[in-house]
Amino acid sequence: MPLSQLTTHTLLSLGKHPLSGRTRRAEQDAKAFELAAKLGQCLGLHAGNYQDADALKSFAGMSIAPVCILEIEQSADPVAALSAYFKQTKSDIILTGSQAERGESSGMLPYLLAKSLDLPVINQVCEVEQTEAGLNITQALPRGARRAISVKPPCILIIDESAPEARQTAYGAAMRAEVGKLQGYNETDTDAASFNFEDASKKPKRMKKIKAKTAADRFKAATVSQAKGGQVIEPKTSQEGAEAILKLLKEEGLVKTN
Amino acid sequence: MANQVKRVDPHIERIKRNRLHPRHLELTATAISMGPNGVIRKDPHKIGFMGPNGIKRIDRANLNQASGSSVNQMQIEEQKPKHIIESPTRYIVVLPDLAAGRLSSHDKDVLGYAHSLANENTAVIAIAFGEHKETGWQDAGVDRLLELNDDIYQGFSPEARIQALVQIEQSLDVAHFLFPDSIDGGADLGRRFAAELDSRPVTHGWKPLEDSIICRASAGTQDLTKTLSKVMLLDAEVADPIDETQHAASTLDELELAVSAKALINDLGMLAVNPADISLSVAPFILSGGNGIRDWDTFHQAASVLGATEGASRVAVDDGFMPRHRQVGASGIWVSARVYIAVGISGAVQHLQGISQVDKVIAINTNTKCDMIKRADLSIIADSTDILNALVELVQAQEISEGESHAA
Ligand SMILES: Cc1cc2nc3c(=O)[nH]c(=O)nc-3n(C[C@H](O)[C@H](O)[C@H](O)COP(=O)(O)OP(=O)(O)OC[C@H]3O[C@@H](n4cnc5c(N)ncnc54)[C@H](O)[C@@H]3O)c2cc1C
Ligand SMILES: Nc1ncnc2c1ncn2[C@@H]1O[C@H](COP(=O)(O)O)[C@@H](O)[C@H]1O
Repeated sequence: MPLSQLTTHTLLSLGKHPLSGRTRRAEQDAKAFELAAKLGQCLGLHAGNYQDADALKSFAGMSIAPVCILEIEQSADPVAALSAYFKQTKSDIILTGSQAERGESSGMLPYLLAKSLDLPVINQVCEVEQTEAGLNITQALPRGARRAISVKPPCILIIDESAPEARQTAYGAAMRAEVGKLQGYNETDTDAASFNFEDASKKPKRMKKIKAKTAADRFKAATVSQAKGGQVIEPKTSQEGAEAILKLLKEEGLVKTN
Repeated sequence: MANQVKRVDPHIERIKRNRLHPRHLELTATAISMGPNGVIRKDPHKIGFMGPNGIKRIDRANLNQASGSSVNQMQIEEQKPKHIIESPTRYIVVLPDLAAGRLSSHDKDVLGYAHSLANENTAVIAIAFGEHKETGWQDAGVDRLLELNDDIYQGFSPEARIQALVQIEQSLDVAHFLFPDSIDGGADLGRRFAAELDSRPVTHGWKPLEDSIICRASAGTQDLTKTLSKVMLLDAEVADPIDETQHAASTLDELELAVSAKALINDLGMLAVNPADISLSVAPFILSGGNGIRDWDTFHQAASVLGATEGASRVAVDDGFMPRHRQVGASGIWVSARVYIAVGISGAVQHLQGISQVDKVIAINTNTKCDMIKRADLSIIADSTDILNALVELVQAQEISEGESHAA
């Protein structure tokens, strides 16, 4: 039985090159777009001003799917606009990045959207596979670990850094592309109006604090190196040496114990 | 261990009983006492002894252990001042990640920040979801501990956890919910909870000010000052961890939680990952080979049997035994493994720099004097090939016996 065709939307935001500050596609959103390419019919959606259409052409230049702008005012909340859009237009999967490259970049958008649409949301997604029961998702955890999760669409998926790299944009295709335009629902984001952004100041390096109570301890802390120098074993048989190593590995839970 | 044994010197005991003995005062005076602020005070007039030329000597290195008291045992028990909150009226809830089952340094920083927001009637609650191995709650600044380890909270269970947090929010007067903004789970749970409460959270908060906090914005390239919010996600090093007080960490059991098991998200468990596919910089377990490897086939076999990611020193790479992207060190990759096994690697500075983030180092080397052994937590002085072969045999033998016990 062929699997039913899924409709997906990828939420696209504008990126900013970390060094030059030039407008570009947001890299995480591009990865989400790339992942959407193999999931079926897709639309790239940005809530914002139509003046940014040129910048969004870099997404269109990936030749994955059409890109559309849900036009809202500068002060309007994109969550409200997107939520209103998805209440009318059903989508099986909504793919997003984990953090925008501009503005507050709180990473809240997918969660707020999930709350207002009452959808499950899964973070750190690096692979999606459609099955008869729904979706099988691979979640990327720290230190290279992976977890399998199943969920039924409709749902929101937040892409992880370790998802497959996005393809490059083709300049010609980007220039030829038309960016669509939809009228979005406007609801003013009052908090955001008072936000005052400054260039990131440098984080000071944390100093090692010496909390010795006596002068002798302070003297020791300042002079004696902290090198611990571990246990040294000169094993009689190599078996003995191997056992010592295995014991430590088991304590750390890296080799399964029996 | 040795100075735990009490040794009584009968000669000194006799002098102490005899008030007319010339050394009587010297031996009975208590030189070390506790001052009014709990600081240890030493009276320099009362310590030390007369040297052979009539000059007073103070033996700081404790070389001459028999002198002083007859009971040769100096143990000053460290007692941190207690921080007890009997009947709190207000709470701050901290949700540590407990990555690998223990409080991470990031978790401890967040607990430290929680105390900077607390007043004398505020108790800091830590909520531990799922299984954990942590025992140091009292020293990390936890006044109340809530352990939720029913089945519904195991693994990836955001829905059940959010339900529990919402009920806590309804039944206690909670000023703030604090989460580490980390990929170990805090970033996700905190944002879910903020969305659930529909309150705009502080995210990537890193520098506390008076009633506000500076947050990283624009993917870390800008700063944004926000007022303190109900839900706050905080970066590592937001505050110093607690280390001078001892807290009660008493269980918080007056709370009745009714969490239903309904879940749209199903955790199907962890997937087996080929260690060779894990990027070297984040791999949790690395077996690294250097110029002291005589048999590379054994090395590769050991790595696959142990399930370790392979690394190498520069010499091993230059000699063509390992690919360039496996090189660990200053001009290679900086690793952050929990365990790093260095086989036949001497420990040149350029290599040691690359493993500065590693938790535990095991060295296998024939040379007792090499620098790697100074860095290592466990060193085995033996030939690399022999030990690797023995390791492979041992693990395989255990797997066979495990297979049998499963069959039985
Ligand atoms: C600019 C610069 C950058 C560098 N960057 C790096 C870098 O990124 N990474 C890096 O690794 N190096 C780097 N190096 C090289 C570094 O200085 C050392 O030369 C190199 O790390 C040594 O590798 P090794 O320990 O494998 O070899 P050796 O120093 O030759 O050590 C071999 C060790 O194996 C032991 N051994 C010998 N036989 C056996 C046996 N049968 N069983 C067990 N043990 C045995 C020996 O006792 C010895 O300790 C750099 C050097 C420079 C100048
Ligand atoms: N104006 C927007 N239009 C469409 N998608 C957006 C917009 N802003 C953010 N997103 C999506 O939401 C993710 C997280 O953004 P944020 O919550 O702003 O950090 C981004 O990676 C995008 O996928």
